[in-house]
Amino acid sequence: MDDKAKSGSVRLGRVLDRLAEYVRNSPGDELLEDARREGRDPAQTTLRVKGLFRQAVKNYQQKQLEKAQQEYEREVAAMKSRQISLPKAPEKRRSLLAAIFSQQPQLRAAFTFQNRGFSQLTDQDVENHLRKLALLGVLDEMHLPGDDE
Amino acid sequence: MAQDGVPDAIPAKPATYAEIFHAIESLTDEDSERLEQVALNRIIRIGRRAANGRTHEDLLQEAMTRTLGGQRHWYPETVGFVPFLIGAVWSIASEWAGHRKRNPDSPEYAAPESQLTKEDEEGNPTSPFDGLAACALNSEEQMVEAEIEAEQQALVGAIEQHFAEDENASYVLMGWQDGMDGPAIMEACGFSETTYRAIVRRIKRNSQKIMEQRHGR
Repeated sequence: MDDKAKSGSVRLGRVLDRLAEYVRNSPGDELLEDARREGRDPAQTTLRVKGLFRQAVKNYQQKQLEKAQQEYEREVAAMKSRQISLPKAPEKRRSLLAAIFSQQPQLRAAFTFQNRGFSQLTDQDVENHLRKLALLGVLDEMHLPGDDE
Repeated sequence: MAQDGVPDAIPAKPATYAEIFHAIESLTDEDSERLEQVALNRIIRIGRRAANGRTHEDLLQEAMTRTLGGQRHWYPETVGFVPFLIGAVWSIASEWAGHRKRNPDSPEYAAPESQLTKEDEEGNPTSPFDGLAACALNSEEQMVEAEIEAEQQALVGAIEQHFAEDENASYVLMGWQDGMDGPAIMEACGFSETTYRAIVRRIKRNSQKIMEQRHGR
């Protein structure tokens, strides 16, 4: 095929590929000298190129943050939607919590009672602790007689 | 350690974010000039229309985004940051050209591909363009193709015209268009390496000016 018969894109493509090869491999000082001759300030080019990359990093980090936030919100929603079945009577709930801590004393360390003894916990405190334990799956392993009341 | 006493090759590790950030901050003027020129070259190579309005700056950012997102891995022990990025720019530009041809009307072309990456069933990233079937060009696509062809024909014509009185540059341009590489042209035309390099540099300088006049920077 002679030159004129080749398509413009093929001819231009081959020229550009060779020029790109030259740019890839040519000494840096030649590139800088040519840039200056063409009226460009290489320092400004560096500022612009670094700015582009920094912006890409910023966009990426922002995207990661949004992803983590969405993930967190999904998990919270999943936890909230989980059905938790606790004994209805406050004294039964208190017994359940006591039984859990007695059977798994290591869990006590994870719960702060704000310098109060176990017996001083309010019914609401007990319920909150049980809900947390339920979300952790601890209640699934506990079986106390009369739980299902 | 292998049995023959030669230590087993340690597999190369992809760069950490810290290494990438450090590499960005360490870019020199030469690096930036080289990166920008390659990105410009590639955008003109695929045609502005094929790039779907995206610029060489978008191309550089896309290469960085894919590196950060793990779609492209930089192994600092085996390749420098700039050659790695040039490789990424090169291949993304080819993808852009290919994808547009396969599905030019896709709304996905309105956003960088890295923002559209999906995951397969095993959680591996996949291109949103995977699975798009190749199809025959419709009349609108044919018009776009014709537009790109006309634009590129005009550009290569302008470059040839510029060097019409420069016999050596014309030989080199003809050789390239015929698919010859540097050594083949040097041999055919009797150029020394220094002469060939000087001609190429001249072609680069002037064709870049012509391209910038037509396309902007």
